[in-house]
Order: sequence, then structure tokens, then C-alpha cells
Amino acid sequence: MPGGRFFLRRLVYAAISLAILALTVLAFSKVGGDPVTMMLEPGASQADIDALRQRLGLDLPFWAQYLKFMQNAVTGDLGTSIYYGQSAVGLYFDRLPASLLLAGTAFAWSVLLGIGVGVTAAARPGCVLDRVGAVLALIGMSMPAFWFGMLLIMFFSVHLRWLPSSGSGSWRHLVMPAISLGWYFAASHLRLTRSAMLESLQSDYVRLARLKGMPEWRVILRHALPGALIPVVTLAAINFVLMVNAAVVIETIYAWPGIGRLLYEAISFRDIPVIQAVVLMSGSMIVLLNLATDLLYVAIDPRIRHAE
Amino acid sequence: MTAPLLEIEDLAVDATGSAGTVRILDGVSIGLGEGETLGVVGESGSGKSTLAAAIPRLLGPGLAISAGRMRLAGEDVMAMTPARLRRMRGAEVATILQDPLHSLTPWLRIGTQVAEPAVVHDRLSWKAAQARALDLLRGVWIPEPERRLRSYPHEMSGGMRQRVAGAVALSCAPRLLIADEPTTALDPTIQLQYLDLLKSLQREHGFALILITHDLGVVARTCQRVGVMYGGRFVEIGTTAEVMERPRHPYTRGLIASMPRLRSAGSRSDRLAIIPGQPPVPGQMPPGCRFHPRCAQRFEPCDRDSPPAFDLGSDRRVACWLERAFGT
Amino acid sequence: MRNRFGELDLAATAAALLLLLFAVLAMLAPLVAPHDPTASSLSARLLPPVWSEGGQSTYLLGTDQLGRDVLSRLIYGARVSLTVGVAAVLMAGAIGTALGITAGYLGGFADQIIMRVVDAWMAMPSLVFAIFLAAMVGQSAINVVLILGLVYWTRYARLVRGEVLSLRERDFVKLAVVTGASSLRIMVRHILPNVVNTTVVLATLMLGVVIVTEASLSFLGVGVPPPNPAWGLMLADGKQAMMVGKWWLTVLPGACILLTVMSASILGDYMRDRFDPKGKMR
Repeated sequence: MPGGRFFLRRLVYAAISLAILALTVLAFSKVGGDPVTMMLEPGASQADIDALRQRLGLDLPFWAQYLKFMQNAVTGDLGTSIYYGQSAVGLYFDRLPASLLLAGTAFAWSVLLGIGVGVTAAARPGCVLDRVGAVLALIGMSMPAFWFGMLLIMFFSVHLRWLPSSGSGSWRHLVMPAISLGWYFAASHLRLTRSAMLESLQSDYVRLARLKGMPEWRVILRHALPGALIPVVTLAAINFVLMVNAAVVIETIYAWPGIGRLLYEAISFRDIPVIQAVVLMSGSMIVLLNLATDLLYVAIDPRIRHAE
Repeated sequence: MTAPLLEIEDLAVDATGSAGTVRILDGVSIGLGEGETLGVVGESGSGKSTLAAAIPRLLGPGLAISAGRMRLAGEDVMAMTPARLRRMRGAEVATILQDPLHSLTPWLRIGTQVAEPAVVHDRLSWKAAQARALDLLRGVWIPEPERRLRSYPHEMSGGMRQRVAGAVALSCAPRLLIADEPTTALDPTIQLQYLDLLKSLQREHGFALILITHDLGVVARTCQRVGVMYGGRFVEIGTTAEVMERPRHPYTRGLIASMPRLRSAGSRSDRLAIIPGQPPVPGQMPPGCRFHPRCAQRFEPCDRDSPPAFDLGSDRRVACWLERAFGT
Repeated sequence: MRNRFGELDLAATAAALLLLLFAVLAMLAPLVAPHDPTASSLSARLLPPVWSEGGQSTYLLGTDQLGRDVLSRLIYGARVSLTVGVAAVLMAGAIGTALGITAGYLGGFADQIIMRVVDAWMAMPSLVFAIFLAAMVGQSAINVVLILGLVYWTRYARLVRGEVLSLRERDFVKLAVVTGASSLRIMVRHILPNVVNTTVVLATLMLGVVIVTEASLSFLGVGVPPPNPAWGLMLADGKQAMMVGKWWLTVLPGACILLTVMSASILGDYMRDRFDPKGKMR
């Protein structure tokens, strides 16, 4: 099978990426100084410090620590939270559902709006929707999400008193975080959809579909859109991982109990194992996602296999 | 004599861009009867592909028909509504594009692509349309047509895909088929086979054919009549036999002299070497006859006035001042 | 500034002028700012802008919860944002270009190592990676520059490497190889000048991204440390006052970020259209 080599190479690359991720996280953690001094009372004796260092494996040379770290990571152990005293990975998964709910909502509306407006705008470049979309996309890409979030709070919570300014538990708590989180991603989906559609609409096969007298909706949805969707879906998948893991400011503003908020709490307490866990989990998800997309493309489109 | 299927009079196409408006096609007139075959020959940039796009009125962005009349079986094409135009494109005037690798939609099955015109224009069910598609694939000499219905374009060779494009074009029994350089992208051995296929399909289905090409040899094999285009105009038009044996326009003569089979055995020169100079670029057309800078026989009026199409009778027209000079 | 068709590009011109205005204000901050940005005044806390009811003409854009002048803080904030942003973009550009050229020109093992690191580092969400680094190294403006440089160099490296791969096949490089120039010399003298355009365009596009990340770090308390008047910090400080309707502490710093980032983005798009018409950077 010609795809075999390709498959294997991607697999090896992904494994190397994960190993480098772990190395990066461990190496930069050393820059911050000795975590032991933070974990013990200020008056702890040297004997106590040494004992803890030994227990955490910090007396070993760096490469041995790295191997140990990797070994543990493979079994799903990324250390124990200094602040909570719980497994860092466990904390991550405790917060995952809230993040999935928020990210899922933001993802849904940003994809629907972004692709919908992007397709319509590309079908008639220069129309009103296209111009409005271009301006909104520019603002969406430039507006810091947390500022937009604060403006929403000011308007809907402080001024109109319609929605709770923070917390979780009902759909009313979800509205503003989902809007402010999805805003940037809607803009990025819109831009990519529009440019991919414009390219697709200039192709020969779209020309032939028009020459066959196909109605315009069929030309756009059946002939042009599927090709344009390939890059859009790839971007959307990566964006979803970002929404789950990197919604730090939004979750902080709205006190949403997700992974971003966990990361924020962890930096406040300098809870290094938790920070490491979030960085590694999000990075690994992207690596695996990239791997999955590569392999999926090969399955879908044999042309890539031949091109390799 | 029956009413002509396609009548084009003084058609002009303009390209509008940031640099202003440039005439791409100018004063083009053709008449084509039912079942006839017209070859349109010219170098790239001569306007032949623009003509192919102008007839179904599907010009690219920035291009527009700016003057002229066009009638399809007596009906004014310029006055058609968008819905009527769509129907005309699929059901009455079909087109085969040059590049078979890119003209089929990569993610739709061959069956879907061959069947959809019948569904849209003849209101067949998908099932009936698939059955028709199967016949069509068989009709364009595709082996294992049942299996091919379920294939995707990338699973087929270029020649095979171009035959599929033929099946797509014929799905609603068009009266006119425009083939825009259909064999240029194919292997030389497959080119002849494809031309034979077109001829045999034409005998079977009776459509009129406009075959656009840069290759006079293709025209000689396939067409009853031929029009030679240069700089966005027809310089000579007539029956293939007449034009090939007694070319009157200096450009036509140059083209024929540069055909490979007529070249002396030792000559390895490129065909354009025989006609010196470069074809004109739209927007920078020379005044007078557009061919005069490259013409060995130019004389007093050529760089001043554009020659009209002199009618030599029996549907032969030549746009060259030599015709007036020698009288007709 | 003219577009491809030679017409005046209004949006790009406006964006450039606005960035220039911010830059001039930032440079001349001590001269143009009416107050000391860190001087608090207990008697003048939470004053609204001058056009609102209760506003005072000494504090044109009002004061914050410590009675500090918002206008002065915004002007000094431009200094922080632009300095940190430009420095970080240059830093990332320098690292990324150097490693991108090395990977692309030398190929082989060096290429493999550099590109595998690029892959791995680009997988980390940039804000999460930046927060992680910030939590490790502690707060200071210089650290923020280093962090942003470390987070964003990968994008330059990937782009520059691609560029170098095609440059390597060009005649002037092959000629230099034949005449016996050292690899280092070829990379510096022949390759570098030809990728500078690309790097500058990407740097302009990245400026906005970097400024938002800096603001986010400052907002979260791991960026530029207080009492520096960074825009992100001002937003964080103003959050409580916002809940009781003191809108100017939220609206004004955010609008400054938005305008700066939007201008950088418009300018970046403009430069890309001018210098990268084939759209490699899309």
C-alpha cells in the first residue's frame, strides 16, 4: 500500500512532537527555580527539603528526570497539584465537561455563522453581506476577547440586568461567555471559508457545472463547497481544541469553572504540575488532531498519497 | 434549406479591468445549421475560447458581451432570462472544456455528474437518470460503465475523464456542442481516438458541433467548415476543403504552411517561425488590419483601415484587402 | 499608500497614520501626558471623563480607582504596548529567521531537529504556552518580550524555511556555492536579504497578535507588572469599577488595544497583498 510509508512517517513525527513537548515543559519548569521551597513551610529543615527532593526525584540528573516524567506521562500521571493535593490530570478532567460545554456552544455558533456568511459572501463578492462580514471579521480578529466579554457584561449585566455577570449553572450563564469566546473564531472561520470558496468557485469544475445549467444553489453547495470545506474543517477542529484549552481570559472574567479557569488559578498559586498538565494536554491534543487530519486526508483523497 | 441553428452577427466582447476596457472579440459573425460542424482555429489569445464562452453566455469575471446579436433556433439569446439561460446551457448548448483533469468535480461520483443534467433539465428521477447515465457512458466507449458510475474522477485517466465529459455534455441531447480544445490535454494517440468518438457521436445524435482548436490538422479531420481567428476576429471562413486547398488570407496560408505534415522532411523549425512576429495582445491591437505587422503581402490600406469581410460566395468570407485589390 | 491598481488605499493609509500617531504619543509620553501616570490622588478617585456629568477638565478622560489620570495612563500604556509588541516581534523574527534559514539551507539533521521543535511548539496554544512561561520566569517587561519571542518564533521559522528551500535552487546561490563561499556566508549574504521582505510582512501581521497576547498576560497578572500603565493591566484594574457602571475604565483601554491591533492587521494585509501576491502567508 503506497500510503504505508506516509502513515508510518506521520506516526513517528507525532511521537517525536509529543516527546519534544514533554521535554520543553520539563526544561522550562526548571527555569522557575526549585519547586520544593514552595511546597514546604518556610522554616523547613534541610533534611526535610532533601527528603522531599528525593521523593520527587529532583535529585536525579535531568535526563533521568525526563525519562521518569515521560514514563509517568504515558501512564497518565502528570504529577500532583501542589495546591489541591490531587492528581493534576484528574483536575484537568474534572474541569473538562464545563470547558466542553462552553467550547461546544461557542464552536457551534461560530462555525454556523462563519461558514454561512463566508459562503454567501463568496457567492456574491461585494454584496452588502460580504462588506458587513468583512468589517465584522476584521473587528472580530482584532478585538481582544476579554475586552469584548467585559463590554457584554457592562451592557447585559450592569446596564440591562438581563444576564448574570459570572458563574455557571444555567443557560443564562452560558450566553455571554459563549458569545465572547466564539467571536474571534467566527471571524476566522468566515475569512477562511470566503477565500476557500472564492478559489473553489473559480475552478473548471464549477465552470462546467454552470455550463451544465445547474441551478446556482447546486453549483455552490454540491460542486464548490465540499472542496472549500476541507481547509475550513481542519481549522475548525484546531479552533475547537483552542476553545477548550485556551479560553483562559474568558473563563476568568466570567468565573466559568473550566480548564482556562483552572490554569488561571494554577498561575495564581504557582501550581506548576497543573500548569504543566494543561500545557501538555492541549499541545498533545493538537498533535494528535494534526495526525488524525493527515491520516484522514489520505483515506479521503488518494491524490495526497500519490503526491507524497 | 432549414433555418440556421445558430446565428451570430457582429458579436463583440469587452474585458473591463482597472486599466480600462479592452475589446477581446470584435465583429464576429457565424451561421451554423443543424448538425453542421464548424472548426474555429487560432493561436492562443485569438479570442477563440472567449467565443466558446460567449455562446452559452457564461463569460469569466470582467468580460461582457458589448454588442451584436445571437440567435439560437430563431430565439434571441441576448434576451433570455437567467432561468431560460440555465436551461439553454444544459439542455440545448453543451460544452466540453479543455482540461479533463480539472473539469469534473473531484468529490462527486461520475454517475452523479453524468446524471444531474437529466434530473435538473428533464426532471427525471435520480434512478432513471442513473440508467440514462449508464447508457451515455457506454455510448462514449467507457469500459465497465456500471463500475465507473460509482467511481470518482481521480480514479480515471485523462482520456477516460474527457470521455465522461462527453457523456455529461450529451445527457440532455443538446442541439449544439461546443468543444473547446477537447484533445489538447490528451496523449497524441488518444487525441485521434477522441476525435473519432466525437464524429461518431455526432452521426448518432445529430448535434451541431463547434470545435475550437489551435490545430488545423484536427479541423481537417473533423469539420465541414472552418473559421480562422486572429486578434479577436475571423479573418477567413469557408468550407474546410476550400480553405485548406485554396487559402486566401495570408495568415491562413501561413498556418497551413506551418502544419507538420506539409513541412519538408529536414525542417525542424517551430511552426511560428514560419509566420514571423508575435500575435497581438488585446488592448495593443495594431491599427488597420490586425495582421499587417506580420504580413509579407501588406500594402497601402493595410495599416490604416480594417478590412471588411469580403463575401466570395458559397459561404466563403475573407477579411483581407487583397480581395479588393484583385477583385472578386 | 497605493494598492495594486495604483489607487490610494484609504484603509491602509488610515491604519498607518493611526499607528504613527500612537507611536509619536508613546515616544513623547513625558511631554504630552498631562499627569504622572502612577501618581494617585485620593480626592480625585473614579472621576468620569470631562464630557460626563461630574467630569473635571484637569482629567480629560477621568481617573481610575486610585485617582490616577486615565489619559496619561493610556499614553504611557501605548509606550508599553508598542515597545513590548515591536520588541517581541523583532525577537521572534530574529530567532525564527535565523533558525528558518539554517533549517532550509543546511537541510538534513539540522532541518529535522529545528522543524520537529517547530511542530511541537506550534501545537501548544500560544496563550497557554505564554502563560506557562510567564508563570516560570516571573513578571517583568523584558521577560514578556522574551516569552513572546519564544512563543512566536516558530511561525517565522516555518515560513522562512519554505522560502529558503526555493531560494536554494536559484542561480545566484548555486553560483556562490561553486565559487566556494562558506555556508554561513551564503546564508547571511545571499539568502538573508531575500527573505527579509517576507519576515517584515509577517512581523506586521504578527504585531497585532502579539499585542493582544501581551494584554492578555497583563490582564491575567503575569505580564507587565503594576504599577506600569499597561492597557491589559488597566482593564484588569477597572473590572470592579465596571460592575458599578464606571465604563470609561473598561471602554477606553480596550478601544486603544482594538485600534492598534486593527491598524496593524490592516497594514499587515496591505503589505501581504503588495509583497506576497501569491498568498503564501494566507
